[in-house]
Amino acid sequence: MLNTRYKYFIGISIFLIFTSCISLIEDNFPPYEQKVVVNALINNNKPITIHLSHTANVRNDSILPVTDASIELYENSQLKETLTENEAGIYQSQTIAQQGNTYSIRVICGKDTVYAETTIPNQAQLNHYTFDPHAWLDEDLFFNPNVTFGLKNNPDEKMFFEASVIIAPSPNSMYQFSEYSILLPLFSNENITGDEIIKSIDFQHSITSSHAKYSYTLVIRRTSESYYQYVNSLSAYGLYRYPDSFTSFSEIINIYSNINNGRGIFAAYNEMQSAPYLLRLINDE
Amino acid sequence: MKKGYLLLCFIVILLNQGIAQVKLSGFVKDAQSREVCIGANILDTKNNIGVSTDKNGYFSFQSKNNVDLSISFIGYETQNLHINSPCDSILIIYLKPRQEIIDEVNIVSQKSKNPNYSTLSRQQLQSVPSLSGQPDVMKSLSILPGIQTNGELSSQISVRGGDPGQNLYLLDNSTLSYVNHFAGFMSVFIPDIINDIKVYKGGFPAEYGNKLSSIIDISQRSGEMTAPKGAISLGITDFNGFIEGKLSEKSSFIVAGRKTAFDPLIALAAKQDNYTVFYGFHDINVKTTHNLDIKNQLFFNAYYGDDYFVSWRTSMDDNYHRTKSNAKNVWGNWLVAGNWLHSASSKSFIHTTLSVNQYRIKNKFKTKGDNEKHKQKKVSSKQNITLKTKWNYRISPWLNTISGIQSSLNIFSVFQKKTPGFNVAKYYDSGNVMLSSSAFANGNFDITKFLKLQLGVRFNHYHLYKLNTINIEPRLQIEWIFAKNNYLTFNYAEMHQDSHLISLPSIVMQNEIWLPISHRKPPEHSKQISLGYSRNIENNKYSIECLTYYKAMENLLYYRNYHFGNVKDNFQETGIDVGGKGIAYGLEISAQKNRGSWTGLLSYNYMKTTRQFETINNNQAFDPKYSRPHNFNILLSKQLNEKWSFNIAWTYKTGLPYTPAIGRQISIAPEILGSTDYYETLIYDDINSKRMKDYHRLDISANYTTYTKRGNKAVWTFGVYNVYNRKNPSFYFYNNNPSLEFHHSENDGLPNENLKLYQMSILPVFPSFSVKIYFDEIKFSKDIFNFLKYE
Repeated sequence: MLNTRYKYFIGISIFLIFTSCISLIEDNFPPYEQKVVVNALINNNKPITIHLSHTANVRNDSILPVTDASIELYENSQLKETLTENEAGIYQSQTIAQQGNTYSIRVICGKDTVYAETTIPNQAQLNHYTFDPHAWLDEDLFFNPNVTFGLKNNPDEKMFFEASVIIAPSPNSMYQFSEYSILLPLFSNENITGDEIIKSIDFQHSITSSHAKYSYTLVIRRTSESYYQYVNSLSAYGLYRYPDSFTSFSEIINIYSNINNGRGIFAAYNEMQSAPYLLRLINDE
Repeated sequence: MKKGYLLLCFIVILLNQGIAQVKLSGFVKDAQSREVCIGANILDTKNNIGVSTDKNGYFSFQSKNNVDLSISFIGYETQNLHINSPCDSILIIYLKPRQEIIDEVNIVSQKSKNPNYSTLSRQQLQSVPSLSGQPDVMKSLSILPGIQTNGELSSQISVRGGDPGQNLYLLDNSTLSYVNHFAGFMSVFIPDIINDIKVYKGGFPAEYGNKLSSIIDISQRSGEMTAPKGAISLGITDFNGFIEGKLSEKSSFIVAGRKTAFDPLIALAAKQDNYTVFYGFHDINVKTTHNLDIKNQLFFNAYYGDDYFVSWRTSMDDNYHRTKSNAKNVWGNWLVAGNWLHSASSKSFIHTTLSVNQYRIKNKFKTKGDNEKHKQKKVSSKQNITLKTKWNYRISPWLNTISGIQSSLNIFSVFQKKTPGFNVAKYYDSGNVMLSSSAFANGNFDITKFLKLQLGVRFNHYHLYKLNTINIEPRLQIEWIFAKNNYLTFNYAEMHQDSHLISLPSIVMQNEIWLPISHRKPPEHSKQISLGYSRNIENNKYSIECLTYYKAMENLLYYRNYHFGNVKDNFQETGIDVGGKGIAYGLEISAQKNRGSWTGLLSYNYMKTTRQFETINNNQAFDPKYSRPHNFNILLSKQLNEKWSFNIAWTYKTGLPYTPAIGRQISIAPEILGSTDYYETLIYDDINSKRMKDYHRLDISANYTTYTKRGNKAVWTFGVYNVYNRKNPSFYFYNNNPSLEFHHSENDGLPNENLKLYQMSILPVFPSFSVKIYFDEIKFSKDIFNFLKYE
């Protein structure tokens, strides 16, 4: 048995070492110059939706939508239309975006004029894919799946991709839920010289009930470089923005912007989906 | 042609002069323990020629055949020898330790030394107060000029503005890859087994390479040639001990081990009905020394150390099938090495090292249920097998050469699955097996008694699949000794690095991943110049050093922790920025009092360092996250009497940089299943453009030496960390309440209101203690038994 004094000493020591202290450093921030913020991620075969707002101060200002702007939309440098506001700060085109075309916008908002441009890439070619539902165990000791797939590569062209998996209830499942999506890491064809890009990615979808039956659908987006940069920076931003004891020393990432004279993103992607993969659990065999 | 002939004649005459003289070489050792004396001075008093022993205790010089030698080393009686030998001689000189050395608690080199090199003796190591109550090598190094630790809990160090992955750790000449425990709370080195630490921060001799910023050369003790003896120690974090003694008339051993003491407490604190975890670490060091004959010595050493984080779970599914699961995360490294020291002749000495080292992070998962079994193992590792041969050859009285070759086979893997049947995704763009080979030569020219020139060159060849890189590293050192004890040195060194380090704080505590060079990530490269001055005062009672340097680096990596919380990819290279440039320049000043009842060290270090990447901060230079321009350290030690000694350490550092937010904006989330979300995000200023509050802290410790009832020496150490409870910043964050519970705007689209900037501080005032009991010679086993029984 430990001596009582020793137990107290251990208890106090552990308490002190893990007792952290939070103190206020600053609550009065200098004003920030107001800029126009453009947000648009455009997809092949869809109309172009643009969200306009203003930047605000760190602490007190409300972020206001831009309601009286004029947006000129150009397709391959030809003016296609001038967009009008649908709802607060949201402007939508009549034009349907098509792969291979370059779209640019000119936003006139009072004294400010901002510009941006993007090209919709051609669709990815999925050569093959497989799901392994019991590929790995997570820290909580539950099984999780893996997806392996191959995409056609063109080493002479910069190619950027985003993958995700849609999880939906299978038709005969007793357990019903709304489908949802898990985002996988972005990747590119940098340094891949062969004619195929092969990715094998573990993703977390803990399999806990033998009654549930799921289907997995692999979604591949071929993206513009600016989309790739933006989404990468957005995920890194979250890691720093909400630090914990492990991530506190992560590097700050400013969210990527390709808007001239303003902030935000104007980028494009082209999406395709695999056929659903019906998941069968071990206990179903 | 005529000029060439004259030059040849000149060389032959000089060499003949050398041959006409007597060459003396050998080792200086402790008469009691047979431990080598590093930095002992051998002075030919007749001819006024002096040399110091190297880290193997080896010396070599040339003189007339009738010499009077004075061999001195602090803490030992000076020995005078008259040698009248007509031929070259190899000597082993044994020095007797002084009986009364109370007023000399520090061992430092007696002559003025190159301020590019810092040394830390075992005695100095013991005198630095620490958080755990027991000495810590990496924390202690941070009191030396030019070296700083990165964070409060971090053992990672930055030397002269370099990155943490640019430091080479050598344990008895063999590379050790990972030196941290408990996310940097402690380092892996057991103090009892350390003889001497030498840190090269610049002016690198050609025998060292493969890292840009520093060489941390740690020499382990050899076991004493006595009956077994040792010590055990208990502190608030761990218990440790060592045992040493002779194996035979020519061989000795030393074994040291350490293990955390708080594993059960964590397991108890975390225990739930069906789940528990525990954390711990351990280290084992073994060294055997074999003095085969006067010309040959062998020593073997092994190290094994791991951190582990283990969890167990029992679960029951809807069909009442029970499953027991176990997850084990283990990270650390092991090392096995053999060294052969051979005095081929009085002017030639060969040191050969063969070592095998592996650093790895293992994630093991195992489940066993009523209907199923499953095992899974993921490993990320860096292994190397290294052969190094160094030949020390004195050509003439004025020219000593050190040359050799080094070859390493490195095997890298990043989170590869070992599950049977799994098709490992190809991660590496240029393969994962690398052969690094180097050849080096160093010439030490004693141009006059006061002017010395060291010229060196190192050739490196890195070979990976379809990638061959050759580079040449020139080294230069000019030393000028003037006005008796004044020493001025100019150094130039180029270095290359064959692998890159990225730290992953978010996976399993503070883990490190090593990546080999590739076309995209070529070898890091640095050029450094330095100008230093040092002086001894009152026969080395006091010493001062001052040095200024400039270092340029290229092909640096930057890892920004891109991490998807719900995705376990093999590894994401998308977060690595490459092709970075860096500069560092600074001024280092230190003063030491080496003898007397008070000893101490004052050091000030100004260091400016920046990084520049095309993909970061709009290609503008920025301060890296561990940059602290001003560092000031005071360490004072007082030996009050035979029982009590006191140590005080105060440190001041500029606050770490942080990136301030300057505004807010709306950002769009990628569309998922037909739904598009907009939410608020912060706009940040230039990266690391502001600094947190300055860091300062006072630590004190007291050592009380006493004897147990059984007559064993016992040392109690009492310490207080952060005496005046300074709330030093660990990191800054924005939130609308003073906690780490955040409102995530991206989840509900609601605005972030009333944001404020907060500081997180850890490690307030903290008491510590440790006790160490020594067991002498024959009584050892009996003492242990009795100690456990009675104490």
